[in-house]
Amino acid sequence: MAPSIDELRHELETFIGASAGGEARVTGLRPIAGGASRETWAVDVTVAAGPEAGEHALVMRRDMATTMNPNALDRAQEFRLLQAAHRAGVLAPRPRWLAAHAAPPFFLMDRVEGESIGRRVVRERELADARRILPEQMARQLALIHQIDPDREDLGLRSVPRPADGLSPALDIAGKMRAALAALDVHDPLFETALRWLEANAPRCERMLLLHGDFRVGNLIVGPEGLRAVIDWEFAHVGDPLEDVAWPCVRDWRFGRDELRVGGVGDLEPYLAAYEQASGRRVERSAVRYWEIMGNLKWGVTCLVQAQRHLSGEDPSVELASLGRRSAEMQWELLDLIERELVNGW
Amino acid sequence: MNDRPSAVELVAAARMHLEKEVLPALAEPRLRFQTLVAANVLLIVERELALAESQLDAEWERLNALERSGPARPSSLEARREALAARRRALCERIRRGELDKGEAQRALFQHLRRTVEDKLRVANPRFLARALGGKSE
Repeated sequence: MAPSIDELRHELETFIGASAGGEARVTGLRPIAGGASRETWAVDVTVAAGPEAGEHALVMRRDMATTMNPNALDRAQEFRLLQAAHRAGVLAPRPRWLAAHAAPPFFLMDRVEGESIGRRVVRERELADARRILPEQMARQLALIHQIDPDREDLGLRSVPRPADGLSPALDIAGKMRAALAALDVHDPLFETALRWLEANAPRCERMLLLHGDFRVGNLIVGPEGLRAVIDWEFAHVGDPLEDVAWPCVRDWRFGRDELRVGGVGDLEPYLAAYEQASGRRVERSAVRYWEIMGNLKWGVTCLVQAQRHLSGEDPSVELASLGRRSAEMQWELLDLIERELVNGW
Repeated sequence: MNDRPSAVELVAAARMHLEKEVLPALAEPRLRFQTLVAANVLLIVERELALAESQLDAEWERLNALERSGPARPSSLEARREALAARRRALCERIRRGELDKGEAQRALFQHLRRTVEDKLRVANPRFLARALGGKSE
């Protein structure tokens, strides 16, 4: 059972009080929609004395007691990653305190207000101006993220997942997707065909870099003036930067505004040009198309994996169950995109 | 056998209850969302009950054409599902061996895959299918 809200309040007051060096009083505590595998709470706290005296609007993230996704970072890793991103100038929420020894571990970061729900980001009238500049802002953020060196000792990011030795990032992911389907005992000719194409056409990766891993509309906090924060860092890994660049282009992340290829907010070419300019690296267009196809495979398979969490009884939820049938949307797109490549003589 | 309402009619009744009685009474966003999802799940079941048998038969026929073979079709629906699962698995193996990588075999495979995923979407999300085929945004 999850602890009661009073227990949580008490735990937070004790922890923040000790971390901030002054008595802490929680004045607001409410759950907010987070990922499916962790709890996220909005926390308002007043610290009475010490260097951090004053009011703080925070977000608390912690793992749920039951579920752990083996491909996701734990909270301590996510905290260190936020620190590195924040220091690199990325618009990441400022991480505040890590409770590494709590059970389960959690951390607190500054709360950034704004819209993060994808369907609203691509539609709300008040965000029209933001949408005009969002693709370029996204490209710049990606370039900044991709500059963080995961091998630097002092960043503590050495344990971030990376491709198996000798495998290109694309073949590594294809292998993981094959393993996920096998574990589900799914034998689907469409996925099989897609995997065969993806394995035969894997692009060379010039340089493996640190990726956000889930960079898309829906994981961005947006205000009327533009991008405010990049959130949900738990799928960070080392890989081909074009995986990150192509991910927001996956059709489902356009939230119904299909004709705007970049996240339902912009066209592809200006976005890629902005990324090239900010990163100083030329972007192979065919490799972006490849990674968009891979993105559809990944999300289509992930839908089935999520449904299994319900089916196994581990996490009963009609929402997770329904994802199993959403997979067909990504399957359709996967087939359509591969067929286009074949027609155009990839 | 069973009296009316039929299975599809019963599911529709439960869905309409959620849509017309429960949803308007809910204020909490998370609960509203979960209930919308539940109503949509029931709608998927309604469509599947109506389409499942003809879609299984169509898939059986397409596999016959693709494999240029015509094994006896099991009479019970359950046995047909099992036989189809085995045929899908066999098709996966042929794809993995590269037997359908080129030319006419590849074209026939892609046509089969397209018909199959379209049928899935007729059950799971016909609006997505219409949008995808029409190339239009929502």
